Amino acid sequence: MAGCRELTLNAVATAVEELAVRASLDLQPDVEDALARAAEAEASPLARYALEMLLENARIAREEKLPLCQDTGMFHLFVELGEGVSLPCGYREAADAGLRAATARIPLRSSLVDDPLFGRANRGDNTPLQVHVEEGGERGKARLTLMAKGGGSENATRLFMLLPGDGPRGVTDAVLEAVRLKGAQACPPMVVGVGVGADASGAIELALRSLLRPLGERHPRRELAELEERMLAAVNSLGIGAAGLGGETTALDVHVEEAPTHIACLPVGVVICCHSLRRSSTEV
Amino acid sequence: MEKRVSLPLGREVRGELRAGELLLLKGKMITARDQAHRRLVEMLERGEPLPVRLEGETVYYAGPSPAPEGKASGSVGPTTASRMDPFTPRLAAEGVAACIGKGPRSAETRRALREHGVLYLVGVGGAAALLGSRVRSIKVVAFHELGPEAIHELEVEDFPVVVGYDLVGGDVFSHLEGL
Repeated sequence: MAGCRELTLNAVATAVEELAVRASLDLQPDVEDALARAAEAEASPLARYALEMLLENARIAREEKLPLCQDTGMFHLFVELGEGVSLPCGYREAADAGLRAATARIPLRSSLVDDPLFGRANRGDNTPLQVHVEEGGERGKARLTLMAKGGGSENATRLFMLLPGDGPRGVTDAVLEAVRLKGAQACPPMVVGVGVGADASGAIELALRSLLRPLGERHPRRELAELEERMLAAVNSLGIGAAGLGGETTALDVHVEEAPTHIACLPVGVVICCHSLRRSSTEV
Repeated sequence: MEKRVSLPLGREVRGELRAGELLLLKGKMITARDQAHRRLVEMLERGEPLPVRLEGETVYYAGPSPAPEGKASGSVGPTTASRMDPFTPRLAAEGVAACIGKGPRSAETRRALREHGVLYLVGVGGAAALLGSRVRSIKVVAFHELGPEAIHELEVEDFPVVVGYDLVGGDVFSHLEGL
């Protein structure tokens, strides 16, 4: 096809390496600003102590080039391909090579194990990346976004197969149940991703992707934007607070994404990320 | 407002500290996470000698990132303490003085900690670069093959923690009851 461009393996590997370094060391401004606002507004002295420590942590990570968290997390690579751009054969191996290089360079803790049920031997390099590819975005451009997701908050993930009649109230109750159950262990203040619709695996994928949206940005649909606001207020009224020490800041934000679903279903995926929402994005 | 406390933590000092107090620790501690806990408890059950002495020890639930060149330590924040709950009563009976982790723990663990005079100290989860910058030295002392899950010995200074459960029933997470 005329004007079709294939990314090079080297460009993929280099981009992943740089993104992994940046995501691990440099807290994104939307997250840092949300923490700063929370610290300022927090009335509980213990919670404020925790929030101020997290801001200081971000400063030290950036200046000393120490990972924001010892938990490297599990890395997700989101690729958005505009029209006329394609990925080369072997791009997954190239992306893993980039992650391996970042792991050695920072260095990052190797946080993934093989044989989850029995041996659990450490893999040593944080690969494999979890890769999500979709078409979209600007013509001729490819956007690569990396997200590192910690294991503590990953353990708080829930899937609820609600029924269509459960409606927005059911979704709110599901989110509150997930946060009540594991919220204190998920390194609050957390960011709650909610996927509504699709099928079971699709709802989880939507919830995960919703974490990519900048904090404070509301869903473009008014009904969902209002639901996000209501759920954020409800989560923060639970009083779990920063580091689980109480106060008003249990979540920095709640994001909802939706997709078409089956006439019999209302799947709701809840994916929670710790305050160290590490992500970084670039155009290739 | 923070109280400076030296490690190891003697029984008398432990008895005086209260839930919610902010501490700055100085001294030596060891790390142990899921796999190290399992191994230690299995060795105790088989009557084997342990590779580390637990009596009077402060056990930090953490798996550090490797130290960058020219730095004493990498990042090292606390991991979720409740994952160690199945093993904690057994280690508490061995005379552990304190453990450091994040988040609340089971009622059974809380009872065992109090019964054996073990303090539960809480680190701020995710403050790993800050906590790592307060580590003066770090080395692996047991279970080397576990990589980040090996038992490390840390020497810390101005290492910030909050008293989670004290020895008289105080609980910094009491607001989570009935949630």
